[in-house]
Amino acid sequence: MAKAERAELLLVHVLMLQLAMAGDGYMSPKVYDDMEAAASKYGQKRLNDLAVKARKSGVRAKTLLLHGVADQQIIRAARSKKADLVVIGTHGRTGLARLFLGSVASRVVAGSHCPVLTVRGK
Amino acid sequence: MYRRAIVALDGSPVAETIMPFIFDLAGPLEVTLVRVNVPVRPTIVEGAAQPMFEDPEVARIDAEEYLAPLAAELRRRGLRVKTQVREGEAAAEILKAAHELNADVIAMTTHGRRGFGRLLFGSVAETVLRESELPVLLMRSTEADVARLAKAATVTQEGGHR
Repeated sequence: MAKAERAELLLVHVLMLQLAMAGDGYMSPKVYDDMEAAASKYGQKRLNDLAVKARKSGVRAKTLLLHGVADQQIIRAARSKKADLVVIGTHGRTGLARLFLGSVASRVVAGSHCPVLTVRGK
Repeated sequence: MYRRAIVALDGSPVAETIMPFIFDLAGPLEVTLVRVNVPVRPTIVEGAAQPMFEDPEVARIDAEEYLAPLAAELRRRGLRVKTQVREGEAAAEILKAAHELNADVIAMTTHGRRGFGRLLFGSVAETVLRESELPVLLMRSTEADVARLAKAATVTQEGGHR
């Protein structure tokens, strides 16, 4: 689709803030900084790999690594980058798991200024 | 690659706001417009001897008459379009239609209701989103968007062809 329309892809990954958990015991702030740095590095690497893949199949692609709550960050990025379409995977959780975990995808649909294409992950 | 799209419509102007995106996306698409008639419960009129039933045949003809101009508009833009009227529970029928017609993508509008925690948008759209094995193109739309689109359309008409 992106190829036919000569659209540009913006690959977005959102990192959640690491929160201290009860029972973890004391960890110095440096440990949290290290964890975040490692997560950022890994996230950026995954994005870069995907961007390379996209470019190989002839699609323009950029990457964007964000920090915060996934749905909010995605909605905000779509708005600020003036996206025409958001493409997002869904887990298709059912029953209790859906009730408690909710769905990032459905929250993005509810808040997005543009259409959202949801794709079920396998 | 997407070849065949199902566009689910419920007869409301809000649902129709998905149409401009179909024009934009659907170059090589074959589009089927689907309208699901939910069987109406009999209405009890006070003083009447019997409950009133809506004739399902009349409802079907109404739905076909609703779909025809929308399909014509898409055909005018060079798309291959079919229409289908179904009867039953909306989300289930949309999924069934997509399956039967071998669709690659389902497109529909969610009525932009907000609040109430879990129920972020129309439950039909949410059910389709959750249950569908196919990609779903969802657009949030409200009555305000309908008014805005209608206004934009009159402005372009007044300004002649672009």
